[in-house]
Amino acid sequence: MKRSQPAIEVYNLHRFFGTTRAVDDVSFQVHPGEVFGFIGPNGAGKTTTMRILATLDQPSFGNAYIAGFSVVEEPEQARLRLGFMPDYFNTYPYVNVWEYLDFFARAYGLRGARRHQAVQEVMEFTGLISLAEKPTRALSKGMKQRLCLARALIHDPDVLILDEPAAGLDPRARVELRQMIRHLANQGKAVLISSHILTELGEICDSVGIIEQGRLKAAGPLELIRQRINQYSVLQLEVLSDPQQALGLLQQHELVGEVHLRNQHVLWAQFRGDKVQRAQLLSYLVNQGVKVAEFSAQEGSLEEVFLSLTQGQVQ
Amino acid sequence: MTQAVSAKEQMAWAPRAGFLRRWEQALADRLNPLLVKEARQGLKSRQFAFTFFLALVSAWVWSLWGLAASEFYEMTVNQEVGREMLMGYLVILGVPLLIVLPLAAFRSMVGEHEDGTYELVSITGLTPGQVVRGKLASVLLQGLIYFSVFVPCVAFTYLLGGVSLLQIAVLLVVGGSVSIGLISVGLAMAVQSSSRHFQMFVFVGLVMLCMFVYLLCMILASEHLWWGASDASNPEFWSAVAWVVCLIGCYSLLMYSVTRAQLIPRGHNRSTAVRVVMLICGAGWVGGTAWVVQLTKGEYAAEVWQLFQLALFAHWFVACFFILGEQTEVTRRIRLQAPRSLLGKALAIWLQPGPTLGFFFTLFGCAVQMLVALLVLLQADALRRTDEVIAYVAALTSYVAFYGGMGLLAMRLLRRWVVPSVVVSLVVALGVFTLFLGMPLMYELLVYSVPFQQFRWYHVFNPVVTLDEIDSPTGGTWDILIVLTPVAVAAAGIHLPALWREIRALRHTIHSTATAWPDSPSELGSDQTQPSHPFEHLKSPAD
Ligand SMILES: Nc1ncnc2c1ncn2[C@@H]1O[C@H](COP(=O)(O)OP(=O)(O)OP(=O)(O)O)[C@@H](O)[C@H]1O
Ligand SMILES: [Mg+2]
Repeated sequence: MKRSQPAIEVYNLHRFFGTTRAVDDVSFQVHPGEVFGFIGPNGAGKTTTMRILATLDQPSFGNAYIAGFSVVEEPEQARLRLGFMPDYFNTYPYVNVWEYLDFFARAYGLRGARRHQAVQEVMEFTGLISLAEKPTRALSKGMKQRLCLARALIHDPDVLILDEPAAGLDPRARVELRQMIRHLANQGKAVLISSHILTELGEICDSVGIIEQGRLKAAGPLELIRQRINQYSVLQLEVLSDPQQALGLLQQHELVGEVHLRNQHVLWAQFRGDKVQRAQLLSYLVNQGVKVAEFSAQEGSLEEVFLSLTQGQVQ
Repeated sequence: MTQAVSAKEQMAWAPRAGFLRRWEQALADRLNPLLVKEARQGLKSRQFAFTFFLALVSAWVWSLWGLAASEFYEMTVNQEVGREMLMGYLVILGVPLLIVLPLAAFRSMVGEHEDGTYELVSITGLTPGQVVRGKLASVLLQGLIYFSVFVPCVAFTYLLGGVSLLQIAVLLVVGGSVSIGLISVGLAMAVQSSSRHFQMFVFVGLVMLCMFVYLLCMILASEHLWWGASDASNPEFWSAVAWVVCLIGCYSLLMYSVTRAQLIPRGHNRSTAVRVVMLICGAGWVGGTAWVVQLTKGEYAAEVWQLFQLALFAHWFVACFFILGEQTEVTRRIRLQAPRSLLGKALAIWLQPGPTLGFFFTLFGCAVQMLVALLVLLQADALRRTDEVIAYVAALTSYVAFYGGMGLLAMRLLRRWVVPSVVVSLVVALGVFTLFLGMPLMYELLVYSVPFQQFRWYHVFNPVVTLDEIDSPTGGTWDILIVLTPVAVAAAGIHLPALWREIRALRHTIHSTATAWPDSPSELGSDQTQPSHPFEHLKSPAD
């Protein structure tokens, strides 16, 4: 039952642990080449959702598809098309980096030259070449994360599911990870990534889903969510001409809400609209003879979006 | 991101070229990935190195001591020395093969789950069967290494004389198959529960089992070495050896399929393969019956037949209690794989997942195989009392029906609170036995102070008493059956509605992608099919 289009499809996913509703009616889609950020406070149900997508757990209700294959009914097919990076790192004693990757390459059915090539490529991509002979137990946290990512990539999956990959990484490693993920998305892979580091997700995600207490509060392109939450962005204007004139003009404008005169020259106005409309407002003011010295908009950061959506309730 | 890689660094890990290396790679490509990994790991592990070293040293010490002793007693190279030396080597080799390896297999499987490494393996392209076979193969590889160390030693005893090549071969083949059997038991026990307490309990049990089997094997080996010189010329000896090896093979296969079934995710068909192997194991006992009847030409046919029937009964009885814990939910996946043709439905329906189907499967399996064994016996015309053996079959089948039916009832009740597992099955078995065996015994002890003096009606549930009664010429065979059979039929009969529901659920086709997974224990007992959910309209228009 091969379907076209979205690489990850989640429909009405539920997962109950006794009376805990760890995942409660979650639906979203991720398309090839898209990075979908999964944001939520502790215990929101991110890991649970991702484990179901990785065919490690089964939904109490609902279904999900990886590259068109149901994780419930055709997990064997779905598995070959997904790479999963859990939020823990476990390895075998007495196994080095190369052997570890080689084992998983074999497990995914890669043979001979193809396997060597796959191992070589992921080690190059994640910068592990120089550590090939190092025992996995002896790796640092950052290197373990890299190895984990390398393992998830070994069979060149269409879908990547990364559970808090940036946790515990230093800033440089974080930037590198971000670049790697971007690169993978550019190759056409669909990436589902969860994190607490919201600002980071804002930079690499095309879409985000905000989850709390198992419920998806909002999902979609970052811009849309921002607009939905922060319907008003705050405009700050510094005018050199008569502030009362500017005040009057702003108050009459249909896209402007409340306006405050901060001091003699500076005005704050709530504005509902996109960048184009903002530009139109500016040219309108200038045409009306207002001398605008400064015109800036402060959009809500992802952090603010997150805080405004969630109440910080932890299950 | 992609880092510049110096040529030197590449050389560091790149596979060294060379004919041997390439040949090895080609071979390794075909091997089970787990075997390759475990071999790499195992060669570096301390446990293996330690045991191997110890076995080697013991073998050397024993060799030197043996030689010195033979010198000392001036027995020069005589028969006794070869035999004693071989026995010594067997005692040493038996420790790794019969004790260390099964425990290593258990540890390795448990460790895979404890370390959380199995999760990642389970979502690769490896099937559960490949995982089990990989574990088995890697342990067997260790066994092979031990074996190869002892080959020169054993050859040396042959040169000393006193043992024939055939004797050596028999001992090694039987020992090897017992080792495989114990290793598969170890693997099967390792996956039954993830609870620490259970695993500790099981580990102790496994240690005791291995020790017991080790001692038994050593006793049998010495018996054979000292008194069995003429065995080799006896065809009965060979067919007995062949049969024992076959039976061990069958039960190893059963353990393998049970282990594999545990690794198959919930909601998939875990049952069919196990049930087929259960039938094969049962057939092993039927084959044994036929062989013994052939062999004894009717002399002790009835007695030996009884013994084999008891074994067959024990096989199905235990199988029944394990099957009771099967999952009740019939998922879309199971439904899709259910047989469709009429013949397929009639025969293969009993192999489909479901506790009630499983209960009736064991009941029919037991009855049919006992009847086949009975036919073999009748055909050989080896009976003193026909009614006795028929009563025997009826009583044994009734016990499977009665205890199985009661167990199923108890399990259905328990499902409201717990998710079934091996532990739950054991608890159910214990409960049922207490109720129908323990309580009557207690009652009798309290009232008459000496149990089993005389047959009373409540002894009907106790196979030890009733079978004895059926055996004795004065026994009230028919009185027993008149009570037992209807009770057994009733115990099985109350499950017919549930059986019908399970069969119907398999037929049911729902045109929906939704699959329901009852999760809170209270949902587990209910047999209702989950409502279908119209997810289709939620799909994006792009579909
Ligand atoms: N195996 C389990 N048994 C019982 N409850 C569970 C289990 N796994 C998760 N839960 C519960 O499900 C809820 C969601 O947990 P989950 O791990 O998915 O959260 P999360 O969003 O990943 O949180 P975090 O950011 O802390 O990783 C929690 O309330 C948790 O207690
Ligand atoms: Mg988590």
